[in-house]
Amino acid sequence: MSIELTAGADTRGARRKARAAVWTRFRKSVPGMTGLVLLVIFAAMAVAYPILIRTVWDPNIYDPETGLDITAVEKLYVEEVIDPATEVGRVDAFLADPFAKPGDIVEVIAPAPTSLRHPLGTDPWGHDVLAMLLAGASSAFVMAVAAAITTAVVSITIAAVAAYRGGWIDNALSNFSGALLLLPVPLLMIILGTSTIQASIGPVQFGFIYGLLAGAGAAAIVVRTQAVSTMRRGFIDAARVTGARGTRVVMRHLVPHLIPLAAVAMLIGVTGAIVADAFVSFLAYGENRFSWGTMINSAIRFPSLRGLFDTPWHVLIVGGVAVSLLAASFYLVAIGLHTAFDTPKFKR
Amino acid sequence: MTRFLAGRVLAGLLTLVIYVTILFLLAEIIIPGDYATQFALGMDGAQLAELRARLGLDEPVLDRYLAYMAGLARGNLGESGSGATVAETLKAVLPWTLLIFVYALAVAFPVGHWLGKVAGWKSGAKGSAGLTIGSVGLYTIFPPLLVFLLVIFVSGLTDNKGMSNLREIFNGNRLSQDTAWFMLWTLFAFAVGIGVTGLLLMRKDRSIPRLVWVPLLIAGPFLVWAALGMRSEVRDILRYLALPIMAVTILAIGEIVLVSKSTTAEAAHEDFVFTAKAKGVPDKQIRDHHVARFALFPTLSKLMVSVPFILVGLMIIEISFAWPKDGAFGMTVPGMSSALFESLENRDTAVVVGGLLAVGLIVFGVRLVLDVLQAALDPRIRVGSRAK
Repeated sequence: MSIELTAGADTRGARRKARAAVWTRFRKSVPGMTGLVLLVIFAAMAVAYPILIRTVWDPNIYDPETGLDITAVEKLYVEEVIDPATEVGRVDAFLADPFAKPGDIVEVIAPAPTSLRHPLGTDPWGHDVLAMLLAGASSAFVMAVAAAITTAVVSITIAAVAAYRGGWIDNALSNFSGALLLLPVPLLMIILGTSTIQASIGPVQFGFIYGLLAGAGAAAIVVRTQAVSTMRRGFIDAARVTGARGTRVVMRHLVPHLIPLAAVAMLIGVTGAIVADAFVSFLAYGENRFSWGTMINSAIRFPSLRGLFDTPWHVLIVGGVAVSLLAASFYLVAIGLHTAFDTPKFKR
Repeated sequence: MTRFLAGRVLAGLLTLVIYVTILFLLAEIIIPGDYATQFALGMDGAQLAELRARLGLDEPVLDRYLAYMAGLARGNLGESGSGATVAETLKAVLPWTLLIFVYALAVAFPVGHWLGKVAGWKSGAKGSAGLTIGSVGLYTIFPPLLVFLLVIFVSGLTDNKGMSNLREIFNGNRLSQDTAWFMLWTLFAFAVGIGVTGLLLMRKDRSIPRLVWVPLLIAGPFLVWAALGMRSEVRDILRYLALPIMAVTILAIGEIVLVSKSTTAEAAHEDFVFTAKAKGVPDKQIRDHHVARFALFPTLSKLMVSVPFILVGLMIIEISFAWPKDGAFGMTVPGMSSALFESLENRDTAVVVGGLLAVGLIVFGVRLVLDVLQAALDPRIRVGSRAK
């Protein structure tokens, strides 16, 4: 089906018609539309935070890291204090007053309940959860888009060069991609993120490196197969006969046929990037920037000295669900696109 | 067939060499410093230089690379900074990860393939879309969240002291390395046995009823181990690894359903399905006997791409159980990830590269087995590769 997108229909009108047909089919795919709606919501969230923090939200209250809003305090009877040697004790009492002694009564910040001021409440440190959710969206979204674009560009480039040149270049590139296919890219990104140069790695760089490795591996193999079969088709010969040069053949006649497949491959690849990125910050290595992973980390660490059932649930679940849903939305859109393009030779 | 095999193995070796080279270069680039760096504050220059010289870290990259490759050819993965060889380090942790991995896949594959088959056959139906969305949800759920939910769920079930109990259970490790390897091999044998039986029955147009094989798959390995006289080990495995196994199974089922559904949906448009329908073969029979079988191998070969990702998911899950060390979970799951991250903290590049190489080798091994199996069962592949 992807073939009919352009072949024999090089007029603008025909292309628009083909695109409209893809959209019609995409709209019928329930998973695809679900993913698209989710993706739009996340994009809106990513845009909303910088706007809100500059206009409505007071940064002193709503900044996810430095903001603080004490709406309620809770009186706490200190049963035991943190033992400096073993670090066992009541962490919340320690937070309120490091010098508290057993038997004292200290005041600790109580997480605010859901209200108009804090639609999702606050965490035990007084940070607004909704603000955290929105702030995490921009960095995750930027990372995901960077990873997606890089994956697509790299895989299309490698596939087009391999298919157009053929011969030993094709062999070398295929072997290289085949070897990269063995590489667990998300794991490598986690290793990269947790090693000490991470201070210099922002979301864009993270996505870019992920895209390079994923695009040159699995995605390139999938797209190359399509590129090789496209090169055998009649319209490529026709273009050559009319005197088109190499770059024109590749850019105008070969690449358009690779875009649908590369799009699907890149959207699926992004899933791993999102999980890896969130996991790095979950391990508290990406502490130089705020993200959903840091949010989950702070929530999971909080009860470390008290017991599992004191975990700030709402913080952990909001962060965890956000990461999962963002990853899922890309995957779902990929499934929808796959149905819409209906490329029978598609391989994941 | 021999020629086909030899070709595949040779091509695979080339791939592995390239893979190791990429790994070596990446490790050079992304892991700053070397094993000696962490001691920079405690040792003076001469001591550091001596340590570097002993570990061979002072030589140029190319020399180290050639030495590493030469060692690899002799099965030597190099020496970890702490004195043990990399091979020993990996041998101690690999069986745990593999036990979880193999067991989870052995359960997840038949179940996932069956669900995918049902959904793919009726790919237009409403429930099918729901299953797709659900599977994507299972596959993309953030592993720490999944782990957290599982822990809460299980400690809620066990009620009483909940977590402290679980922590106690996870924090001791009473199983020896040799036992773990032995258990792994019996598990392999069991999985292969079930697979072969399934294929043989399929050839005779029979199948094991679902109500029998699902419990058999889940309980089977434990029964086998118990029969081999490893009762206490079985109890330990259930305690140590039940939760990680559950988590990985959930993750893997999502992916398997998705792949299996798409291959089944594709196979449903084949000509032989049309013929069978025209002959009046019952719908369910076409699905199970014609389409599902045809879709089995495409499913397997597409899943190859997912194997490294499921392995990574497993390692992330292992870490999540153990993170933070003093924290809510605070359980140590012995396995690849603990060794990998420990050596990462120590800048022990040799172990990191060795660990990634092990992951690559596992993926490579699975792929090779599948290739051979596919070629053995499908003559078109053998002939096709010869013609090329």
